[in-house]
Amino acid sequence: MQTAVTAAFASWMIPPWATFFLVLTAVIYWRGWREIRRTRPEQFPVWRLFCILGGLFTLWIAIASPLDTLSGMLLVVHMTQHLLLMSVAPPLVALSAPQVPLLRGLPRLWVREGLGPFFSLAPVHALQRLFKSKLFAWVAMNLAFIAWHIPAAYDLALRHPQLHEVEHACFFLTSVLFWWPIIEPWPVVYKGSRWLMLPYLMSADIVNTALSAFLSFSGRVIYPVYADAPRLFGITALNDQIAAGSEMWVLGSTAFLVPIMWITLRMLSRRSERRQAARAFAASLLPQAAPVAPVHRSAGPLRFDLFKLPAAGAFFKSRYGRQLLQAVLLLVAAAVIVDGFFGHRMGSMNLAGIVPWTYARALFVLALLLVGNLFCMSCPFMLPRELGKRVASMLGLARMPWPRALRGKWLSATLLGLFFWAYEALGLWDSPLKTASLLAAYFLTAFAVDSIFRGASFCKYVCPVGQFNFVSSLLSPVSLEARSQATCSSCSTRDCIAGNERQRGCELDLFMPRKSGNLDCTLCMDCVKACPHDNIGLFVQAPARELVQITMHDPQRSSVGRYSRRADLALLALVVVAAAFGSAAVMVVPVASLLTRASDAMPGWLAAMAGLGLAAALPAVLFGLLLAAVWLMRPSQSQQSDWARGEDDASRRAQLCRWTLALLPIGLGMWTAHLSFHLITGWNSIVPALQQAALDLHLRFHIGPGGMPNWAGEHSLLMPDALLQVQLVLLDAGLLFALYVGWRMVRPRASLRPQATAGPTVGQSLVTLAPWATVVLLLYVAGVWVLLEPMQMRGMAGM
Amino acid sequence: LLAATALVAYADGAHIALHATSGDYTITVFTAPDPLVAGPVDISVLVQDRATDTVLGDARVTATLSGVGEPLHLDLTHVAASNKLLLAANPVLDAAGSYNLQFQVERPEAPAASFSVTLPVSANHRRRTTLLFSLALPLAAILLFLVNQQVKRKASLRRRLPLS
Repeated sequence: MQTAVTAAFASWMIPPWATFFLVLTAVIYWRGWREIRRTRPEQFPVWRLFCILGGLFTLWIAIASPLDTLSGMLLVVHMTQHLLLMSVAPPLVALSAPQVPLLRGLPRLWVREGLGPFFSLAPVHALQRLFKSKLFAWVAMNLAFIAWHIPAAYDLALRHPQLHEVEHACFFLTSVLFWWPIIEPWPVVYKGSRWLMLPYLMSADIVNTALSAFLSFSGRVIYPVYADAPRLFGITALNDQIAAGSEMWVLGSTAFLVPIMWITLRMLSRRSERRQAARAFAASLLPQAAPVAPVHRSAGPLRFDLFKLPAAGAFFKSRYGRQLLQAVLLLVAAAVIVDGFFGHRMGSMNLAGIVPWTYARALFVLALLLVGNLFCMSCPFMLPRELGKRVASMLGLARMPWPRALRGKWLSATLLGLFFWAYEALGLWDSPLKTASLLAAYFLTAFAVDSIFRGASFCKYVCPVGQFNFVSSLLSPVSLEARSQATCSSCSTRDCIAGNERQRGCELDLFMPRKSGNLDCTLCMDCVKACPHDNIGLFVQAPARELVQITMHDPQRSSVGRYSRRADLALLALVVVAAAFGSAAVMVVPVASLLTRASDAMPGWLAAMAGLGLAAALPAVLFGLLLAAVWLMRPSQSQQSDWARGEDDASRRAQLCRWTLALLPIGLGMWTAHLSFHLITGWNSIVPALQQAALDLHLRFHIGPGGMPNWAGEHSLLMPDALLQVQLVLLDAGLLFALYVGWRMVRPRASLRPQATAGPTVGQSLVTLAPWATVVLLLYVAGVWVLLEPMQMRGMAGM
Repeated sequence: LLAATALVAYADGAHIALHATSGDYTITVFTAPDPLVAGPVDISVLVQDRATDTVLGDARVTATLSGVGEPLHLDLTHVAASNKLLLAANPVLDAAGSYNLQFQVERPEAPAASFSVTLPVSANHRRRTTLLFSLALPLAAILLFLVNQQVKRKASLRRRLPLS
C-alpha cells in the first residue's frame, strides 16, 4: 500500500493552469472582499473568505492533487473526486457570496469598460434568468450526474482526458447552479417560499440514493475500465465499486440532508418568518434581482506605490539594497566565468552554458513583464564599473561627455543585432569558453567606457542587454514616478537629477518631474535616495501602458523626447522583434538543417558573412512589410486631426515609429514563449551543473548525495502538451496586446472629438487596421509554426 | 475564472493496452497518447506479483517494437515514467501502422516471462488539436472585444442623440 501511495505522490506534478486560475481567483476575491468590507462588514465576515479559500482548495484537491493519479485505477478514489466537485466545493463557493467580491476585486477599468457593456446585452440577461431558475438548476445537476454515470459515457471520459475534464466541469458548474438557490448568496434574491427547497433537496437525494444503490447492489462490475485496471491494495474491482457506491450514498445524502435540516430549523423559528417577509418584500422591489456591477465612486487611475510595502520599500530605498543584489549577481557571474574557462567543455554541463542561457535570460524577461527591469537594477557589471569610475575620478578622468554623434540608440541597436548574430554564429550556448570570454569582455568594456565618459554612458548608449531591457520595459507594469507634481514644482534643489553631497542624481539624465515611462530607466533608485521630499514612488501601472499612451498623446519625456520621433528607438524595437522570431526559428529542425546545409556548401568566412547578412535581413524584411502596411493604411482625416489636436507628429515617419513600437508585444510574446521553453525543460539542471562544476574545479565541498552529478535526473517541469500550451498562450497574449495597441491607434479619441461627430464604425476601424494587423498575424503564424516544430537537439555537439 | 479552472482540470491516466499474466507476473501495459498516433509515445508497464498483486519495483523490463520500419529495442525505466509505480520508455514512432510490442520481464533469482501486444498507431492529429486551441483562444478574445466595442459605440451614440 505504501508503495502505491508513495508512487502516486512521486508521479504527481502540479498542474500549472488549474493552480494558476485557482490562485488568481482567490487573489481577486480577497481584493474585492477587502474593498467591500469597508461598506458592508456584516455581510462579509471573515468566514466568507475562509469559505472561498476552502472551496477553491477543495476544487484543487479534486482536480489537481495526487488523488487524480489514483482515480484511473480505483473507482472509490474517483468517486471521492466527484463528491468534492459536487457536494463540497460548490456549497463553499456559494457561501462565500462571490459575485460582488470578484467584480470588486478586478481592476475597475476592466469591469467598467470590459465587462460592463456585456451586462446590458439581452442574451446575457436571458442567460442570467435561465441560470437563476430552480427548475433548470435541478434538472441540469441531476442530468449531468446521471448521464456521466452511464457506463458508456463514464468509460469514454476515462479513455479521453479532454472529455474527462468536460465531465468534471459539468459536475462542478451544474452543482454550483444547484446550490445557489439553497444558499441564496447576496445579492441574489429568489422568489417563492423557502419550504420549496425541501422537495428540491429531497428529490435530488432520491436520485443520488438510486444510483448509489445500483452501484452497491448490482453484483457485477459496471464500468469496464475498472475491470481491466490493475488492482491496488488488494481490493477487487467489485469491492471497489461497492465501496464507491456506499461512499456516494452516505456522504452524498449527508450533503443533502444537512441543508434540509438547516432550512427546516430556520423556517420554524419566528425570526425566520420575519426575514422571509422581508425577503419577499425585497423580491417584489427587485423583480430581476440580477447581480449588478458595483458603482465605483472614484474612477481614477490605479496608483499603487510598491514603496509603501513594508519590506520592499525599505529594501529598495536603503543605501545598500541595490548593491546587495549586484553583489549576488557579481558572484554568480564570477562563478560562470571561472567554470566557463576551467570547467566542463560541454555547454549543457557547464554553468556558463546553463546560468546565462537557460536561467538568466528567461527569468529576467519574465521579470520585465511581471515586475520590472530587475536585471538593470541588479546588474553585475555595475560594481566593477563603479570601481573604475572612482579610480578614474581620482585620476581626473571620467569627465568627457559621450560623443554627440553617438547619442541615441543607433549604436546600441546595431550592437544588439550583432549580439544576437554572435550568439548563433559563435554558438555561445554550446561554448562555455566563449560565453565566459564574452562576460569578461563585458566587464572590461563597462569598466573602460565609464572610466572615460561621465554619467552612465555605458548603460545608456552601449550595453546591448540594457537596450533590450529598456525597450522591453515599455510593457512593464511598474514605473518610477513623482508622487506629487506640486512638490516637484516647489522644489528648488532638483536633487533627483543634480544629486547632493550624500547621493548622486540620475546618471541617465532623467529628470523626475518630466520623466514618463521606463525608457532608459535602470531602476537604480539614485533619484529616490536623492529626493529630499521623499516624493518618488514605484507605481504599478497597466502593462504596455506606455505603448497605449503613444496612441493617444505622446508626451515630451525628459532626456528621451517623444517616442514617435525616435527612429533610432523604432530600429531598436525592430531588432528586438525580428530577433525574437529569428533566434527561435534557427533552433527548430527544418530551419537548422537548411542553415547547416547552406553553410556546409560554402567556405567558413563566407558562411559567417552570409549569417551576418541574414541577421540584418530579418529586421530589414520586417521593416519593408511595415513600410508597405503604413503606406496602405493612410490614416483617416479624423485621425490626422486627432493627432494634430493632440500636438503630436502626424507625419508618415512618426506613424512608422508608432506602428513599429506597437509590434513590441508580439515580439516579447515570442521571446517569452521561446525562453520559457528552456527554463521549463531545464529548470532543475542547476543542481547537476553545480555538482559538475564542483567536481571539475576540484572543490572540496559536495552538493547532494555523494556529490556526483545526476544528469539523468533532469526532467521537464511540465508535460510536453502543457509546455506547448504555455508557449502558445504566451504568444497569444503577445498577439492580443499588439492588436489592442494597434486598435487604440486607429480608434478616435473621444476626449478630442467634438460631441456631434460619431467617429468611424468598428468595421471602418478594422479596415484601417487590416494592413498592419496582417503583419502582426504573419509574425504570429510564424511563431506558432516555430513552436510546433520539434526543437533541434542543441548543446550536444560537444559530446 | 471558476469555469476556466474546471475546464483545465488535470487529465487522468492512459489507455490500457494489455493486462495479462505469465509465469509469476501480472503486467499491465499503458500507452499514451490515446489513441496512439505517430510521433513520441509513452509505453508504461506495471509489473505485479501474480499471487499477491504486490507491485514489483525491482523488475527489469525490456521490449522490442517491430512491424513498421526497423525493429526498436527499448529498456523501460522508472525514471522515464510519469507514474513511478510504472516502468516506461518514450520511443518515437515514425509512421502509422500496426506495431508488435514484445516484452521481456526479469527479476533477480526468478524466472523470466514474456508478453506481447499489438499496437495500432494512427496518423498524428494531436498537434492539430493543440493548434486549434491556440488559434481559438485569441479569436474568441478578439470577437468578444469587437462585440464590446460595438456595444459601447451604440451606447455612446444613444447618449449623443438628442431626445425626440
